Amino acid sequence: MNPLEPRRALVREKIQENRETYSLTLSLADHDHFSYRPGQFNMLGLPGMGEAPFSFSSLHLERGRFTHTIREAGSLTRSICQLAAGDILSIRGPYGNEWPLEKAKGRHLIIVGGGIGIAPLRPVIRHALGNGEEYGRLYFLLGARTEDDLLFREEFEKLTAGRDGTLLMTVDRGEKKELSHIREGLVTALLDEIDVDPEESITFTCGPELMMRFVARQLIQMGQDPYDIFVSMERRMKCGIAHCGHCQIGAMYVCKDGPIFPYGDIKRFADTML
Amino acid sequence: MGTGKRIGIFKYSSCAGCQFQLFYFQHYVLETIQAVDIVYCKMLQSGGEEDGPFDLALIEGAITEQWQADQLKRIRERSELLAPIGSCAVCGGVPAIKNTAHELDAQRRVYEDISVVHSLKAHPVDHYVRVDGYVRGCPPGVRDLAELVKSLLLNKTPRFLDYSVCVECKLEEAICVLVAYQEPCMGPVTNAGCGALCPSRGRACYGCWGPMKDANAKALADRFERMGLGREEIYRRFTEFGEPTVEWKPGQVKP
Amino acid sequence: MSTGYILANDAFRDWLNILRNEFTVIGPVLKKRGPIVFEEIQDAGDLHLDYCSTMLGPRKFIYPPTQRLFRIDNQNHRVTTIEPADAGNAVIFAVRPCDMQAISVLDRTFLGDIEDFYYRKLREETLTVVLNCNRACDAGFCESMGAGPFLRLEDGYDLEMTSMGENYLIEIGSRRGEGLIEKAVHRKEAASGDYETKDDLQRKAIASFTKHLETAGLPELLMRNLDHPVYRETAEARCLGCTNCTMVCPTCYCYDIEDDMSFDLTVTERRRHWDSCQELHFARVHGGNFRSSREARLRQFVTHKLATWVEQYGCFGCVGCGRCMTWCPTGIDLTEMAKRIQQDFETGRARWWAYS
Repeated sequence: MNPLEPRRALVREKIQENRETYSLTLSLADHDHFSYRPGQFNMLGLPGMGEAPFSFSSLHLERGRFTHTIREAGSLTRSICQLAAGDILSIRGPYGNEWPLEKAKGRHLIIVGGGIGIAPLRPVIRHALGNGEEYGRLYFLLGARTEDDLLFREEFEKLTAGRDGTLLMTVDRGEKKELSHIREGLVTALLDEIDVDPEESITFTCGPELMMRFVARQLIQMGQDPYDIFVSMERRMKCGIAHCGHCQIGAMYVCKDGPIFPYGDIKRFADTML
Repeated sequence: MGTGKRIGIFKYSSCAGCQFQLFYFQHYVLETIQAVDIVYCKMLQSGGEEDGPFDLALIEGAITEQWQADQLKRIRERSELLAPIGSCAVCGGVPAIKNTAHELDAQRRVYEDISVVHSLKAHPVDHYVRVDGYVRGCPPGVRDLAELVKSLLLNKTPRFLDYSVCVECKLEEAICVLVAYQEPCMGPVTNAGCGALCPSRGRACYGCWGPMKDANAKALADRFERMGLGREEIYRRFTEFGEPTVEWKPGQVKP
Repeated sequence: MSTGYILANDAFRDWLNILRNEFTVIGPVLKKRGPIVFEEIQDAGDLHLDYCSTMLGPRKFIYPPTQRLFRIDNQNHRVTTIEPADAGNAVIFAVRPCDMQAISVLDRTFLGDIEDFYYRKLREETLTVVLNCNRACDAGFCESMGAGPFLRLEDGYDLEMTSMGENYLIEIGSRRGEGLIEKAVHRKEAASGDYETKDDLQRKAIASFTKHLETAGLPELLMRNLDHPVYRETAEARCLGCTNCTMVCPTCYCYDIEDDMSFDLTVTERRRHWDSCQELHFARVHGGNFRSSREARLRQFVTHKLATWVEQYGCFGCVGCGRCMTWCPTGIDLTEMAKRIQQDFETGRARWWAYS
């Protein structure tokens, strides 16, 4: 077995989420065994363009299919986003660890997502809403540059309507002022609005590192244990199997030990913005 | 089978060696000729479509006169991608040695009647326009040229060599002329691509590929000084191929 | 104690020539202009055993600077694995104990939870014959790092040689090594006196070290002083960012993967090549670079080799071979940097408490 050898996946469906973000639903071309947990990622690639890591944005396999939500940033992501149903791309994975949903059981769950970082949190949001009885109160705090960048907004609004989950959203630049539940400002401001005992809760956050820094610091000030705050990190990755060395943060390989780390554990190393 | 990718090749103040390298490169990789259309290249054919538009414009030579800067800006507007090729266009190269003197003094050294000369200080292409990559070398390296052309065909961001000459020297397992023989080798601050041509044959690198990004020129200049090299000599080394560059500025302490 | 054999110097040369019929025999060779390089030998006489250290260690045969990985058909994305260029049952002679230790350190990366296909193959096809060091080399501090001057490994190598003047003591490290020594014609079994001579040589070798590094508590100390000024000062005044240190380091394993497509855009060859944390692009992501300063990159090198490696793999990432400081154009010495932090701790200027 050669762990660097990619398998082939088929694009089954493509949905445009906003002007630069697409959700691609894929399935393995050779019907091989495949399973994953929310929080993990795949290395997706195209010949000549190389490979890059992408988190799952779907909760679990549905008829062998899974989804990645990808923002056009460089030439590889642009090429992947230009694929159409029926096209092939290469895939390795799944790699990395998962959101510690077990640890969250019986506690309040605070989920803070920013920008494209909302995508890896989507499976946890869906899971929590589907298994509300296992958790205390649910808070979903989402932020983005503009309303258009708030990924899965309608889906989350529909899912939380009439349920226990509290959905709060904020944008840097508001466009339609009449939408009262979308604030203008930083996502950290939303933390002031939630009525929850931080010591009784657990936090999952994913987004720009600076955002996660301020989220974590504020939660710690509010009394949360740094080891109850879980951050999803992103680094340059070439192999996904803790060999190529690029994704190291101190002693941690983001690809193998992460991408999800307790804030208190990853904070002790240099070269992060946490 | 042409892909319709249109390339324009322009030459300013330089020896034209870069274009020779391009033609040699075409000969070397026959497929290139079929993969792209060279729509303007004075050295290859007269005429041509000087006004573009171009999918890729390759610029050879340093900019030393106003008309060159003006034309360059026009080319930029009409090109999807633009890349300087060769040291003169990338970092000033040999023409920029004159920058160490006052422009009028430089003119007087060469011309009897300077009233007809309207030269500027020599600057690389990116001094005047935005560029989409640098094909370094003197002459430009085949590896980076191939990467640029393939990236154009694939619509991907090219990845150029960006490390020091030392890397190639180590892979050759050549004795380090700086460490072992105290030769003033520019390898540690010079961009790779030449395959450590000089140092792997026992000669100090003189930096003809221009600076590596984030080079620590000051530290190397200090090292040269500690091993007894004169200030004049150090200054000359750091102005021979990269006078206008920010990377080598800290090493250019006037004697 | 495993069985050992004594080979007189002449018998050793005959043995090498016998092995050459069956194996690619690799060893240190003195090249024109002075460097000593590991390469295939054509005759036993080419072998230059009286060497201190090569520029690149024998790792280059097991983990080559460039490795072709796959050929990919661009149309249907079918992937063909490119087998590693046939090592063809190579035997590497005169691997220094530090370099042998370094290969065992690399094993922990490439043969850990997930095995690298190419490394596994080359490691298996390559036999290693260690040559103990009878004296310390100038820049070496392998003794402090637990990697020398005599072999410290229990396994992972095939034969261990000790030069004892007129002859060699050859001890067996593996079954395959046993197979090698059995091909030596004029061998005789080692006597207890031979092992005593070896112990004696080892004591003398250990005593010859002038360079030491105290490693007790070092990882913790370094991790608590990530902001120590030694990194900034060295990075500004001396570090050239040239990556010589990581090129010559025998335990460096980082690689980058690169796709090279044919000009007719039909086939892609995927390759990997050594990469270096000292390069500016190493930690670059879309929209930023987590180690954009030379200071951060230098700190990564020092703290990885001497601290975080221990947390990752249970051993130091430094074997004390001294290559990085030998080939650094400005002579940056990571032991000096570590010692400065240790001294500052002694005088109360460095931290010994968790920093948060």
